[in-house]
Parts: sequence; C-alpha cells; structure tokens
Amino acid sequence: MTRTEFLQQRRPVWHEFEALVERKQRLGARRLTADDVQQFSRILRELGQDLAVIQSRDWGPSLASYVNNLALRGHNALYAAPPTRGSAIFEFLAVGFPRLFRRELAYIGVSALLFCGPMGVTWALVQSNPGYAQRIYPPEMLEGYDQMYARPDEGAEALDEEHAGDEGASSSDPYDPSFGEQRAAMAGFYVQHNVGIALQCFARGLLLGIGTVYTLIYNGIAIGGVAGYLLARGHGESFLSFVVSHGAFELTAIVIAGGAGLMLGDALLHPRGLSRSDSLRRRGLDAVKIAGGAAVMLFVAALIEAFWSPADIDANIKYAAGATLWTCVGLYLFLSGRDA
Amino acid sequence: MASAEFPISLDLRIETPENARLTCQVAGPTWRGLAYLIDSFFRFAIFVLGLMLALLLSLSFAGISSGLVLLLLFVLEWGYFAGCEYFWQGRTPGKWACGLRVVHESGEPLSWWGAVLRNLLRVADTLPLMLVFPDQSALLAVTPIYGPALISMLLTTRLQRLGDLAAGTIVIHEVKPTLDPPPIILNKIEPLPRGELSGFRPSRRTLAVIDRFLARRPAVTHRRGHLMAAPLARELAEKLSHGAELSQYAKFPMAYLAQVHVTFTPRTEPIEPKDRSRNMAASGAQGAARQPSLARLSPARSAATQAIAEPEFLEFAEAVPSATSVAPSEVLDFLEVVDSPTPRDDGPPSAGGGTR
Repeated sequence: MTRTEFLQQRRPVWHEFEALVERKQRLGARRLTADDVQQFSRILRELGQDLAVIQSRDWGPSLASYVNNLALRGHNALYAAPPTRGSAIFEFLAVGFPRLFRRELAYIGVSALLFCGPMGVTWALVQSNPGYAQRIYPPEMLEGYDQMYARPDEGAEALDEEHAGDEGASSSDPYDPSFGEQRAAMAGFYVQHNVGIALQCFARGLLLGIGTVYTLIYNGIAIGGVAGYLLARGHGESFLSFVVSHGAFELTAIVIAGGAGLMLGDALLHPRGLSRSDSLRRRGLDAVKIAGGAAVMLFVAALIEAFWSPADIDANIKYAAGATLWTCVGLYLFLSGRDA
Repeated sequence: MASAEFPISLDLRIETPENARLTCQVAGPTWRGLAYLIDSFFRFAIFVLGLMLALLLSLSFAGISSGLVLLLLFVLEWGYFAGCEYFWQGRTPGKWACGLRVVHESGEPLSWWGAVLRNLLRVADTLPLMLVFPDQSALLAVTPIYGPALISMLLTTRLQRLGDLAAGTIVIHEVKPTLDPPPIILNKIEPLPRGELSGFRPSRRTLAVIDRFLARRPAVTHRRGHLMAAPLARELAEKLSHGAELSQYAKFPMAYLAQVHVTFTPRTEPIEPKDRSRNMAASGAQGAARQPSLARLSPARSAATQAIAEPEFLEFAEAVPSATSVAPSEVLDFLEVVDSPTPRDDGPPSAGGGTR
C-alpha cells in the first residue's frame, strides 16, 4: 500500500483518537463511556503498529513524529499512578514506618550520637559555667529565654509588667479568650519552623551527608546551650516541664530525619556493588519514607508544643505526662508492626 | 531519532506496555526554569490571598489566623509541588503552562513517593545564598539559585537535577501532534511503459525519498523543484535505460520521478483510464493561447485536464501560484507533463508552451 492510501485509511482513526484524548482531558476519566474507553485502548494499540509501519517503510520523520506524539499523549492520558487508598496512610504510619525505623537503626543511632553528643557536652559545659552561653547566643536572645521561662512567683513580676503589652508574652490564663488564639498561632509557627528544619536536614544529606552532620551538630549545640543556661539560671523546672512532653516527639524526629539524611549520603558514598544512581534510588526511597514519618511526628510535636506544653499546670503532672509520652514513642518505634 | 546514532540528543526511547517504542523529548533547564517561575508567582498569589483571608479572619480569631497563615506557608513550600505532581499526573500549573510533564524514566506515571522525594530534595538542589552572603538581606537568603541542579542537569544525559536522580524521574515536553496536509498528485499519474525499462529496480529507500519529496512539493518553487529533482532523475533515467530519450525526461525531472514512483510502487486500485487520442489532440492544440486560469483553458486541453483532475487537484493547481512565486504558465507546464507523460515524436511534451 502506498503512503497516500495508508494515510487515507488511518487519518480518520487518528482524528478520532485525538478527539477521544481531548474529551478525556476535558471530562476526566470517570465521565467517559465504556465504549470510549474500549475504543481508546484499541486505537492506542493500533498506533504502535502504525508507527512501526511508518518507520519501516521510511515514510518521513514528520509523519512518524505525528504518530509518535499522538501515541505519547494517549499513553500519558491512559496511565496514571495507582490511586492510594486512605488506609494506606494509616498502614504506613502504623506498620511501615516503625519497621523501616528498626531496619535502619544503625543510621539513626549514628544520627543520635551526632545530635546528643554535642548536646550533652554543651549542656554540661554551660550549666557549670553560664558564661559560655555568651559564646553561643547573642545576649538579647539569652534575655529572651530568661523571660520566657521565668515563673511569676520567682520575682520576675517586674519583667512581666514591663512586657505586659508584648505580643510574645503568653497569657497563661485558660479563660482568657486570646489563650486559644495564641496557641494556634504558635502551632502554625512550630509546624513551619520545625518541620522545615527537619526536612532540610534530610535533604542536605544528599550532599554526601555533610549538610546533615552539620545541621545535627548545630542544633545539638544550640539546644544543649539553652538547656544548660536555663538550668544554671534556676529556671530548670519550668524549662524541663515545658520541654519534656513535646521533646519525646520532636527530638526523636530530628534524630530520625538526620538518620534519613545520612542514609542518602551513604548511598552515594558506599554504593555496595550498584551504580551510584541505582544505589541512590533504592536507599532514597527508603530514606524519604523515613523522613515522611519523621515529619508526621513533628506535626504531632508541634501540636503538643503549642497546646499542652505551655499550660500552667503543676510541674509534676507535666513530668508524668512527659514520661508517658516518651514511653509511648519508644513502644511505637520499637514494637509497632512486629511480626507476631 | 535512534539514540545509537546520536548519543547526545534530547530524545528518550521508552517502551510502552503496548510494545510500542515511543520517543519523548526531555525538557531542559530553560523550560523548567520558566515553569518554576510561573509556579512561584502562583504560590505567591495563593499566599497573598491567604494573607488577605487571614486578615479578615483575624478580626474575630486573631491567633488562629496567624497560625493558619504559617501553616499555609509551610504547605506552599513543602507540599505544593509534591501534591500537584502526584494528583495531576506529573504536572503543576507552571509545568502545564509550559507543556511539561514529570514521568519516571521508564515512561511510567509519577508515583507518590517519587513525587515527594524529588520535591523534598529541592533543598539540595538550591544553593543556599545564606552561606555565601550571611550578612546581606533576608531576601537573599530566601532566593533560590538552582546551582547544583544546573550542574547536575549538565552532567546527566537526561537533564535530571538531583531530585530527579534520586527519584528516577525525567521531565518531558508534551508536543502537540500536527499532521502535514495530504499529498494529492500521485494517484493521477500513469506509470512508465514496461517495455522500455531495463531490469533495474529502484530501492524502497529511493522510492520513499521520492514520495517524501513530492509530498512537500508545494514548499518550493516550480523551477527549484525541478532543479532539486534533476540529479536523481538523471541517474534513474540512465539506470532504467531511458538514456536515449534522456533529454526529454531530463526536461521535467519532477514528473519523471513521479512516474518512476508510480511504476515501481504496487498499487491497489486501478489507474483511471485516460484517453490517449484526446491527449494527442491536446498537445497538438498547444498553439492556443496560454491562459492563466484553468477555467479559461482551450476546450481540448481543459477536457484532457479534467479527465484526470478532481476537485483537490484543481485546488492544488490554483493554490500553487499563490503559495509560491510560480507563474501560472509554469503550473500549466507541470500539469501538461502530468497530463501526458509518454514521450511524443513531435518534440518534448508541452513544447508548444515554449517557455522552457
């Protein structure tokens, strides 16, 4: 058959297929009729054959590229990612994430060392000599921390009066109408701040893990410094009761995200027999799942930090709640999803 | 299009589940950068909208509104790209505007974790200006320069940035398929008389080249078309042992090529019978004045032309002078050749025109 005859036969089919694709794009897949769908897949198969005929008979690059592009559009319209069921999310959080955590415990352990080591050292140093805190933080920030954690009955009333009009002064009276508002504002802030830092920590792992190491050490020193300073200044109880509840989720999540970042870097450094890109793809998929789980944990931490931690409740109750949360996190990470 | 012949090209071969080998064109940093700019404007617009709504909301709920604004900021930064690309089969508004789409390297549609991974690693792709200019304005710290992304795109064969490398994805152009207008001449031509031919048979490649050339004939002028066709026509004429009448065939190379094509391509429909006596009379009546419009042809010639002409053919003939710079008389020359391809004793075909 000649080119002309071929075109005469096939051109109407191609135009019909174009119309089908355009209709699918306009209406969405659900509104197509069954006949449309059958016709669509039938012509898509025929297009591959048409392309082979055109290429083997060498009937021209423009005709070949037309059929090629038409088939490509049909391919992209027909195939979409499989839809996720709602239960898949729950399954991942309940089973998938803890199992991944336990499988990659080595990386998370290293990340914990990188985080807790500097944190502990800085804490001890600063607590024994508060002057060291000046080297880590600018003085205004230290003053701010002082004000934040000063208890009203410890003689910080003067400060409270000075800063009564401050936006940052949190109202501790639950019956104040603005109590909930400020908590919500802080929740948003914590989400944007903390989750952002953790995800950056994960992503920087791609640069051979150097960024992750830096972020972990930096944050460890920062937190350790604050803790030591506040303990040395005598605000220990308010600080610890504030931190202990959400720290269960937040600190572990930062460590986990750091571990995921280290996984990425290690995939590049030690491909273990695969090409570096293959190694990156395999470990990368696991690493991003772990980072996703860490992000969810940080969401929870942000909610707790905004609504529960600043509450003006007796410190012992807060300690008890904090201990419970730590236990819960430990059980979740180490026991959830185990094969029975 | 074969990647074996051209190792550096923007084409990517994928094999679909229908066993078709399709070629897609990979998109580079310029188009992707433009799509990113459009997306950034879009995100900025959404953020401004959110701010305005939050201001309205803050009249009654002060704190919740600021919390929601910060939440919106977080979603726009970390969730916008991943969400759009997953729920919209690999496109974001910016990519849709530029005709791009994200797919996996094998042509598969983008999966959820692929979308999340390639967009979370955007942080690794942007160079934090903060590290370079620590004391400058905060805006500088927020502006991303995709330094590592550009380097990575230069170094990989498929123009992937770091996030793409980790997720195994590529960004392809979606080209709108356009079909050339249909060629119309070849049905109307008589093949060469078999008795005159030697045993030579042109290759299928040659026939395909002729086919393609004739299909694009409206793109060049009449004279130029003949010039382009002359070497091949001469060679074919020699090989087909038309050397003796070479001068006649060499005069209208395009027509000769058309005849060769018709001769050696198997046909499935019979050729329309032509009245040779009418043709002889027509050529004899060459002396009649040459009219620019087909409608004003001399009756004999117009009859001969109409014997083979259909509406599209006429349309083509009318269209050619306007499409190129061919004079109408040259069109008639070409038509004359198509009309009466067999060699005549009374001189070269359409010699009555005398314009050659």
